[in-house]
Amino acid sequence: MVEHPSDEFLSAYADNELEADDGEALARHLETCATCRQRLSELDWARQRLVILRQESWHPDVYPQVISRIAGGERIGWLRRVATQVAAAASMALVLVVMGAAMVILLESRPQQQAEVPLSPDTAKALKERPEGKVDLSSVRGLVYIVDRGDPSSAFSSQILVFDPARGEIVRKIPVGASPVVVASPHDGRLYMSSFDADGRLTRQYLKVLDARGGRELARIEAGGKTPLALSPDGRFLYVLHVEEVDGTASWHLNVFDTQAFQILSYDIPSTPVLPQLNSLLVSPDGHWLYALEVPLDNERAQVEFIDVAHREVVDTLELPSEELCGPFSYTGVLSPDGRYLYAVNTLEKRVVVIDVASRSIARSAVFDAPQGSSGEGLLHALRTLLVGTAWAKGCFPPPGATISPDGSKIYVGGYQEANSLGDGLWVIDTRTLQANAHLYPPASGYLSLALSPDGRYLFGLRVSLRQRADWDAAGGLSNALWEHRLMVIDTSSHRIVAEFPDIGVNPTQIFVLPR
Amino acid sequence: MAEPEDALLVARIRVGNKEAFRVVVERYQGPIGRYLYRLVGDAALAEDLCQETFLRAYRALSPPQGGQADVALGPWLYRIASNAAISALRRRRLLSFLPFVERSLGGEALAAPNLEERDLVRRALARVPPDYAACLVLNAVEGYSYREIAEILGLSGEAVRKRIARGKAAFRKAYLALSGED
Repeated sequence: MVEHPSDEFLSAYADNELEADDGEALARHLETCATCRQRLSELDWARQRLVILRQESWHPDVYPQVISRIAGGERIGWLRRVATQVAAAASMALVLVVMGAAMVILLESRPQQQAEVPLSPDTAKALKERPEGKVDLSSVRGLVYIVDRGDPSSAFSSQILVFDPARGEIVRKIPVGASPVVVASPHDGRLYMSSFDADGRLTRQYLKVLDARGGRELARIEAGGKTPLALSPDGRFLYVLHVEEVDGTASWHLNVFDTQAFQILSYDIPSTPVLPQLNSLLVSPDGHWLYALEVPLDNERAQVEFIDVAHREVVDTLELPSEELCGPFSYTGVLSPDGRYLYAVNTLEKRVVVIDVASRSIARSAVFDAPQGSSGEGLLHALRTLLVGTAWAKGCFPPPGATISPDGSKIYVGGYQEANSLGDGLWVIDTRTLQANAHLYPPASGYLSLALSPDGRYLFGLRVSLRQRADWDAAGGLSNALWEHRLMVIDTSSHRIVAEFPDIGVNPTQIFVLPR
Repeated sequence: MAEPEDALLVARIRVGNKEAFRVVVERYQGPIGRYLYRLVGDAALAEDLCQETFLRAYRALSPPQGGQADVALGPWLYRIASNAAISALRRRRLLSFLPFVERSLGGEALAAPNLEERDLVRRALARVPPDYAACLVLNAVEGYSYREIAEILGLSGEAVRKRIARGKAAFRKAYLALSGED
């Protein structure tokens, strides 16, 4: 009996998409098979008809509408946000008029004069006592790895900067392609990353394994991923989520990368399709559960999906409270060291939600404020918001960096970053009271990523700020040169900044500390 | 002076340069808009989707961290546009029991030759499942290879091959039904 080729095979032949050998074999078959020639003709018929659509000569002009929608926010909840802004502005109008003039002068002429703005007692003390020189950090038995996306005008210029705290300088730079997202494994001293490399006119995404100490690439596999990545507590498995569409159905696709065998096991996980943002991806200490803190397609809420790794399924979804427009996007998650609680912290709304992962429910929730005696911060914040711009007008920003102390008593989390890079300092949240122990608040600075030293004594923070006031809408936009990135070192017992190192990278995004 | 390369424009958008974004929109709104129109067959919807495409691109590239990874701009915009169009077409199918009045293009496009045939092709394409139609249009009209379509839509090569073959069959069936030839 003659075996006829499938429609897919014939269609690909008509489109000149078969490998040479297959094409030649099919051509030989077609010479003798009238049935297949007829089928081929019918399949090619569609292409011949569709080509007529190339004659369309429509020239849309959508730029004005797009730019108008960007400027206007164009989001559900817009009116609510505006109303809130207007109400807040009205109630403070008198004070703002007086302070506004002073603030404009401050921002325009001396943007780095931090001592002239109201600070919380802790922060003021920390800033006042901050040493001019560098403290001795030789007791930090680790190296700091900073992921730097590099000069945006130069493609594939990302690198890992290796910073030696004892020497107070960058001791090595490891090139890593473009847009790396990294997770570090203290177990094997490796860096696992998703990054991109050029392949002709396409850009391909790879999972790569790097030996952190030597900077050598150990392995790479082409694999997509929606970052961030997550590593199992024993360092054995790397988890990468992405959305894949198969036959019209979008679903989570979980890549599990065996870090010892350098192999990928792939699973489909039916779930909410196509997320605009995966805020955090966390692994339970026993490696059985993945917790995906995410914003679904409608942009209207944040939620946690509980993924049973062994059974490859999402067993539950828990919605997180949020009232602000960009609130869902600003949630970031950390797990308690014992894995019992997932803390979802939202520094835009000053909200912390404690999730009992066993019952998959919200155990506690609280709105925190700056530590007592720092009411000036709220005023300052509102003033800056009115003067310099608001997040809602410019889109929502990704969540800030966060980490938890080894004993689980404190969460360190960056303040929400706003338009023009006006961040909201660094918060220290007590996991017992769910209130802020400290708020390190140098104005106009955001903490992008945080990492503790191996002994937990020091917190390393990647801080971004503007060197001077800049207007988003000015011709040319924001120059890269306006951004300043510093490595901040904070004593975790006193919450004081004990050292800071300027000019760290061009566009750094993540920080890790690994034992030497 | 030559226009900047796509990668440079993307880099500039990442740091907040709206002029670079304007150049990107003006460079791609024609191809993307026409692709969308071919796919959805409705000018007003295509224009909305075109706006949506660039709006999503802008948000994805917004500073300070430029959440979206480095991209080959053209294919990436086609991907956003395809996803937006497929979603819209699915929604429209759900509402297909309602009388649907197609809003066609006016002026230049209508004055083009083969209007009747094009209209028939467009209506037949509207009956093809959106996922198949996207692959079909990207290949037969936009000229992308199977491999490139796989990259654009995030599919395997096998899935693209299958969708195009099925899309062709569905299109032929719809066309013949509409033209009364079957």
